Amino acid sequence: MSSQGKILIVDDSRTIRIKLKKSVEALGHQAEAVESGREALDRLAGESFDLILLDIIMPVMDGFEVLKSLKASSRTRDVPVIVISALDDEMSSVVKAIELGAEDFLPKNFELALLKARVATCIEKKRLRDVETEYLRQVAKLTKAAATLETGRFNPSKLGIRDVASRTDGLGKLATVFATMAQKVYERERKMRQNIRTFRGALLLLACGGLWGVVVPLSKMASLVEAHPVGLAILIDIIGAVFCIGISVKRKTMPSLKDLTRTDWKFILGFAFISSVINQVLVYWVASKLPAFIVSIVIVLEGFAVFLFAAMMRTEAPNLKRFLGLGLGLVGIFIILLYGEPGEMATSWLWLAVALVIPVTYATEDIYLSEFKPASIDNVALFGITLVVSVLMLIPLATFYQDFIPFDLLTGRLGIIVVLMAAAGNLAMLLFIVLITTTGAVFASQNAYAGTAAGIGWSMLLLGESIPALTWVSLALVVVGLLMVEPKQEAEEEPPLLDDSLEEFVPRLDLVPSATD
Amino acid sequence: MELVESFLEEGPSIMQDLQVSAGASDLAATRRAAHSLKSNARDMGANDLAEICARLERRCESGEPPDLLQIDNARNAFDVAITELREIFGLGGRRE
Repeated sequence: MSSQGKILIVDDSRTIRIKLKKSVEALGHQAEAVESGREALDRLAGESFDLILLDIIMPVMDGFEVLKSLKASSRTRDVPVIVISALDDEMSSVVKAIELGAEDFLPKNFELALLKARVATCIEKKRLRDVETEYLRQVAKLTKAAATLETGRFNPSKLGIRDVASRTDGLGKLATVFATMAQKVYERERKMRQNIRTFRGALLLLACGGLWGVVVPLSKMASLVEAHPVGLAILIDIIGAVFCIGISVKRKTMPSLKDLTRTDWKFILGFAFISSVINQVLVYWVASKLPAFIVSIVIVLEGFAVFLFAAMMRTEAPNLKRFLGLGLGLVGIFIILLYGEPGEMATSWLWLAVALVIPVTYATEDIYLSEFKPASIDNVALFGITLVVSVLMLIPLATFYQDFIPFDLLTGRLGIIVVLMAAAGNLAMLLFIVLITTTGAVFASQNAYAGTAAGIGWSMLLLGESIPALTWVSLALVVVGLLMVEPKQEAEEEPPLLDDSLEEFVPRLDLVPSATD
Repeated sequence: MELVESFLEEGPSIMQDLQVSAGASDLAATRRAAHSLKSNARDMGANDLAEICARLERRCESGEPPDLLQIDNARNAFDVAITELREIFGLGGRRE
């Protein structure tokens, strides 16, 4: 440890400043001299010194005021101060200065040997105090890191104790052990949270798929009465809009329309177009032309399309495990397809080709929702507004194709089917918005498996077919597959703000035993 | 040598501060000037001047206004010190 220091001389007399500077430099130290207390404080605000030689009697700001300011600031309170005194008649001033925190005093007509001894002692003390302060600061960092750990939300690589762990003493060892334990706790908790998310996501997914699955056989039943795909979509959207907006108004979550930004409107228009004009009409239309279970099976390809889109857009991490999970779900569905005597598929290969567009447009909707949904608007309110926009988009289409459902048809069987479709379809879409927001597009796209499996089940039930035992095996495969895909990983914890708020963890140096005691 | 030169440059303005502040009965400023001149005079070996300044400083500290005779004495002792320093160190220049 070097015994040479950087010393600040504060004296209003130029002659005394020169004398002190030359003396200090002759002892091998580096010296800077200023002529006023104000100037000294300004210098100390931007520069570190090992010692201050301070005159007491100065104009404007005397040595006492300088001392008070120095001791009041955490940055300068540990810099030792030697007051320069004429000694003969200023003993009371020296006593006062020492009471204010000065380390020592030096007569103005000092001997060089005395200056050397006092300066050397002060600098050595300062160096020891610096080591002690650094040690306490690092203890404080470790304490703060421990407090952060206790809150349960932390990122082990950003605990800010790397420099503490690099120490070779006991504190360094403690920090290393602590960092390793923090890493283990973090990984365990992260895994646990991920498992909970997967479990919740799986439940939501099955509920969503089960509801969605009923839509295809119901639309088939509706088309058996009379096929009006656009008119059907309009009716279902109106019922959904009335419910969603009603609920939002009651919950006071309905945003004022003038508060919606340009981006919000762009999303709503896009979502309404993809979801209602394309997807809804396409499904109802295709369902009127193909057997319901075939439509359901085709929809299962949505999962692969989303996985492909998400990987291409790099919005989610593609890996072998997730790919195999999707594959397993697909195998489950094909088991049903093979077992379900696919002779009917020959009905219309052209319509089957049209049906193949559905998984692609569904996947587009999934990615669109996952990436662009405005977080500031309540999900139910957002969906309600979207449904109103959808109806406005569908009305010209229905007018053009003369596709409105005649009112007298609604009083019979078709009316009940429409209400059931509206309840199942809209609730499924709401659950899907929640699902996609919390788990990501790839995981949520597996609702296609659940929906397909449920759709086949529902069509067998509603259209009078028996449910083979193998359907349950394929359903089990779908569940295993979705557990393998897992929801997207949660984001890393934000680092705690360590250096800004260490103060409360740093014991005051004057309250702990000094190393020199 | 540099210290003497510094004193020859700085001293006259401190002496003037002393005279002006004493004339204005500004005790704090008079005390500061006397204190500064005293420390410098001691370093220069001007013991008479240092002694007069020390007395002036104590007087101001006790709240008594400076005696103008003391100020004159300080002025005289200062002039003597300056002259002697110039002679000893062979330095020319202006006199106050």
